[in-house]
Amino acid sequence: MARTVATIQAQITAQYVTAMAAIGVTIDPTKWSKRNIQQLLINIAAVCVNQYEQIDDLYIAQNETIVANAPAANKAWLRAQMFLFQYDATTPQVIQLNTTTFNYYYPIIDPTKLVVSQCSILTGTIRGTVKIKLATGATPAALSSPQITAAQTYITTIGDAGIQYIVSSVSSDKIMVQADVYYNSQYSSVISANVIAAINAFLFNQSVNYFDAAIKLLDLETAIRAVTGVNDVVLSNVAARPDGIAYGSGTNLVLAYDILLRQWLPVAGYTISETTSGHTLADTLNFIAQ
Amino acid sequence: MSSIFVLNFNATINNNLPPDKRGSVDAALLNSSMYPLQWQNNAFTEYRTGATYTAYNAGTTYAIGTVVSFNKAIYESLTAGNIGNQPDISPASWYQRQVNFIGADERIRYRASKTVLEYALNKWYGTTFRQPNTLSDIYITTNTVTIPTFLSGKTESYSSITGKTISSGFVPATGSGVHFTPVNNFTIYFPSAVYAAIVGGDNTIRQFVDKYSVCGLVYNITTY
Repeated sequence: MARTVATIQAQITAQYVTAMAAIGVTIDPTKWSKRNIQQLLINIAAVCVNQYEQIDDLYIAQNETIVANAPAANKAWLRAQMFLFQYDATTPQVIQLNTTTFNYYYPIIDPTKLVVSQCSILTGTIRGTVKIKLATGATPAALSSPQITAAQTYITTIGDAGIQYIVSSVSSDKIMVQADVYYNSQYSSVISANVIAAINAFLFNQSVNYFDAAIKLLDLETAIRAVTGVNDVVLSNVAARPDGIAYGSGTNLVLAYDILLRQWLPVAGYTISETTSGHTLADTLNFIAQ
Repeated sequence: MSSIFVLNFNATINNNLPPDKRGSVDAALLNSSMYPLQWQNNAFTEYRTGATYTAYNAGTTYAIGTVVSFNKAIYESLTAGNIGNQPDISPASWYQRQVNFIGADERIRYRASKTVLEYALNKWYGTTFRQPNTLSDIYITTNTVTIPTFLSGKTESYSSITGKTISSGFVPATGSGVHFTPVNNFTIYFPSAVYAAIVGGDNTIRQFVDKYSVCGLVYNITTY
């Protein structure tokens, strides 16, 4: 940290006194007048040195910031970059490298072209591979084939050389949640809509909460209990399935109030509530007033 | 472009002296005393931002203070009539002002990101970097990683599977029966002429790339 001008001036003065004493000349700075020329010259020299020490501090601070924020191409960085991916069917969105900051950027940042709403990141089973599973939209759905191709090019361009990024996007996994929800009867008019909204929001956010977008029963219960007016929740039946598996042939997480599995790892990288008629959240949640 | 890191001590001295002392012998003494600090700040600026100077030429006579580039470093002539003294082995004739012609502000941001690494390689070897969607002179491709297949037999139809628990056929140690494909995680492509001019070839290139590439990955270098 830069020393004050006074400190540096005192150091130079002490050095000057010693040097002069070595050649037999006694200097007593306490007797210098305010207009003493030696004192002035030493003061100016101290100002110069102080300036130099200040830029040392600035440079160190700048570099420490750069080092602290250096992209590590870890899962968090990859996911953050995928959420910045822009796609336009007619105007190619080509990522550019800023050759001063060495950050990537789009020449025109257009929020309407941000197509990724879900992103899970998994380390591949083969050395040097990373699986990136994407979805688009507020109600998550698979990206189109051209979108997947563009996303693949995008991450290969900005990702680490030699790491094989495998981008995929398929139809969502589905989860059926049957539960007894105990609630304060004063909320009877809104409780159903609010709990359903809370579960859907919970499912939507899992790719942000966990890199593998895992659906954990404990988190699901917590999300439901966090709804204003809910006193308690008991999961009675919970079953999840990839899109390609028919309803009824999926995996039971909770069966007749017995917990069989604590979490579901979505094959698609994201999960939405069951869409099969008669098994949607509107059908399966049992609200019990208290 | 002006920078907060660039200092002008002459101005500082002048601004701190009373008007009647500006241009005096005292001012001259102070300016001279602070010259090493100014020199150091100039060198520091060069260290931060990098510098490009004319390449050293063994047949040229250099004056004292002349600055040249040699082997990616920057040297300043210490003597007048300096000729035929190779900078890196003539410390009496040349002072190494910078060990790297690329500035620290830039080097600290280099990393394994494919496009960043392409930029760094092109800068280092004086070739042209181009933004994504257009190939740079030196460019990188990430290769598809597959599990190497180990077959005994020349073609698939006549092959036996050899695995952890089964071996339905013997595996010849040599000859055309064994197919094993090593995988490089990425490949660096150099223009043939650029590669030919690199003293030390692959080893020299790897010394540079290994500073930034992800440890544990393997790569090869090829020309086009």
